Amino acid sequence: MKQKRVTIIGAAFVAFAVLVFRPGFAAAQISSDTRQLNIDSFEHVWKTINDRHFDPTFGGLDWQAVHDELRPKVENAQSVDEARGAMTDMISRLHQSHFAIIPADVYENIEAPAAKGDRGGSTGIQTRVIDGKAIVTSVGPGAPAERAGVRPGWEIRSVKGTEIPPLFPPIEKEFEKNPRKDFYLSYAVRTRLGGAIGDTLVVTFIDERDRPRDMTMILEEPKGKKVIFGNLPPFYLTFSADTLRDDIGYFAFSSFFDPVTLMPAFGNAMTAFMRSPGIVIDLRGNPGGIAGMGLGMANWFVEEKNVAMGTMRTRSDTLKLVTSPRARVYRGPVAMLVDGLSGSSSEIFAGGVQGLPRVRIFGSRTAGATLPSLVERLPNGDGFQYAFASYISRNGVELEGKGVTPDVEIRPTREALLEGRDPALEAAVDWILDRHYKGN
Amino acid sequence: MTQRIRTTAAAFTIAALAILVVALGAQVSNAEKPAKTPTAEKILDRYVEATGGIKAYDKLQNSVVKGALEIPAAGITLDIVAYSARPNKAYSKAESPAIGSFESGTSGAICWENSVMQGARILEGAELAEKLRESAFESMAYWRAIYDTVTVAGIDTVAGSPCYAVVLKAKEGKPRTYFFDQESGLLAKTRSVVATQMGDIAVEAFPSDYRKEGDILVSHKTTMKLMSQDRVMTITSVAYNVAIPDSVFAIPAAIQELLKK
Repeated sequence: MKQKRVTIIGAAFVAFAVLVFRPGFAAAQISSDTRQLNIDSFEHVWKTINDRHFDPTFGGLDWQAVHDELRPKVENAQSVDEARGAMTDMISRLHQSHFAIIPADVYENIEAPAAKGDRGGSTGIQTRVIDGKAIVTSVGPGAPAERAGVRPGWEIRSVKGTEIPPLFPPIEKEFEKNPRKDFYLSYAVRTRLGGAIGDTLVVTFIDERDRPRDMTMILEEPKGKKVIFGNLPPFYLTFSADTLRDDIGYFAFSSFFDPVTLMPAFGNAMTAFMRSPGIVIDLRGNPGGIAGMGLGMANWFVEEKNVAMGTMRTRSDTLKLVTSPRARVYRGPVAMLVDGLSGSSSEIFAGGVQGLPRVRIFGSRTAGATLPSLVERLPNGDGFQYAFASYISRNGVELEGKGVTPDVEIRPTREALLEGRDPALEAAVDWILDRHYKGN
Repeated sequence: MTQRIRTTAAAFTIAALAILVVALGAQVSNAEKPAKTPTAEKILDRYVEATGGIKAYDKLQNSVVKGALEIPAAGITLDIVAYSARPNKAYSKAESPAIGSFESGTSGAICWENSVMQGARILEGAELAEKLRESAFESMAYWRAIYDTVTVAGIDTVAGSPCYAVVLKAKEGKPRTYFFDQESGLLAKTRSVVATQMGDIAVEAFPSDYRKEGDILVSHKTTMKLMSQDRVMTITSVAYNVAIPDSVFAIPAAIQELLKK
């Protein structure tokens, strides 16, 4: 069976991550002009949320009081970071996904080819935290980690001398019942595995024989197609179509962006899979993107017109997301794989089709970060991501803060990864074959 | 012409980003009725006159409009082109590298949409009826053929200028309120509820920057309010009575495939 590679690079969720785990930025003293731009930015953020948030009660928060408390902090800020911190503090009071302040320097030269020293350097390692250990779940083909010999199932014990396991208990405790716990845990590892392109990283792994292995890797530009979407930071799109055993079709993709590339690729795969006994769509690690793309993908395998894939609620409207089947529609079983790093549009896609008779969801609970959002630029040059709607799944569940609970819950294990196995995918394949051969 | 493009542009952005539109209320809440308000018919006829007059419109057989649609809150701009021809043929395309292309058209009987993201679709029901109405060539110049009743709702202020608020109602569909500048007679604002596959969507539009294109005065900039967000449509060129190949209005293969189902 094919070993899949899931990529955690993304867009919608990246901004979300910036909010939560934004590393410290170099403090820079500010001029009176810059101070005013920061104040204007603060007011813009506050007013946008005040006017456009889908919940006019802000979940019981006194939004005016938040303004009055934090505006002096921006007025008195001695650095851009300090002002940005106050704005981040303001939006974090909502305790919702898809609110973020994206530092202006993220946008510098984003359209230029990646070069040494640019942020976003990667080892090619994907991880999940399993039983309190950071476990390598995949290694990108041709990436520094693969060339160094890193393998799925190895534990990451330390990075640049920082012990990794002690990072997890506080996160586990704080987010004990939060579906975003897996995301936060993995992100804590990811940020330490990142750096600038060209940086040298020394990582201590525990290999399949439980031996410590020190490996040195030089960070590179991530694999995949560099994509820039509006005011989001750049990200790298990867996708793969494959045929599993018994001709079951398989499609994985790293985010819901670049429809000009991705949608034809998905369409070609679906056309090739038309006679397959089943199809697996792998959304693990996919942080989302343009919600409409999931709808367009569902149009390849939902044969009825106007099937509701959930609703979006803005402050004043409730509108249905509905299907428009393609001329040729796949009519067999469709399995979707999700995990705690499946966010945003991935959840809207999975939550939109869960419960349809031919669809079953496998894996672990998704991130519960499902608020449709936009990203605009602020007067001070920072990016500002804000949610303008909530999403209610096909089954009537408001997924923000809850996530999609799979029909069949299966988590990866270190042992399975070391054996080259993928329990969630195996369960999906078994279900497809069971339906196909037994008619169940 | 611009009304159809505005609605099409709104639909493009809705489909593109799955962003839906905020309802903005259909009433002219603070409208006043002065003692001597012209009739709605006179206000509409004056608009036709102000933009060139019916004789000028009668000379037009088709149009090609090009421009751009900006979604400032997303940092995305789409190039748009719209072809229209008598009596009711239309084809529009909006395109950006970030989100691909969105096409829509009508042969006069069938209305369709096709996009990279969501594929092909044939419109039905209220959505179809509305699109057919909008596809009538220069529908505002020939408003009597489109709307059954027109009434003055009062006077409202748009961008500091007093405007007559006129409610237009077709046999089917929701009423629309158009605001005509008292002084110039030009359209300053529209408020309409658009039928879509996802449900009714309210759109407010503010046409401005009127400039002559041939004998017709055309709005070159329209700001639209959708979901409490702005869309800005800018027209860069308008050509009338040009050679448009029949293939432009032909039903695409993807739609023909759906028709066979």
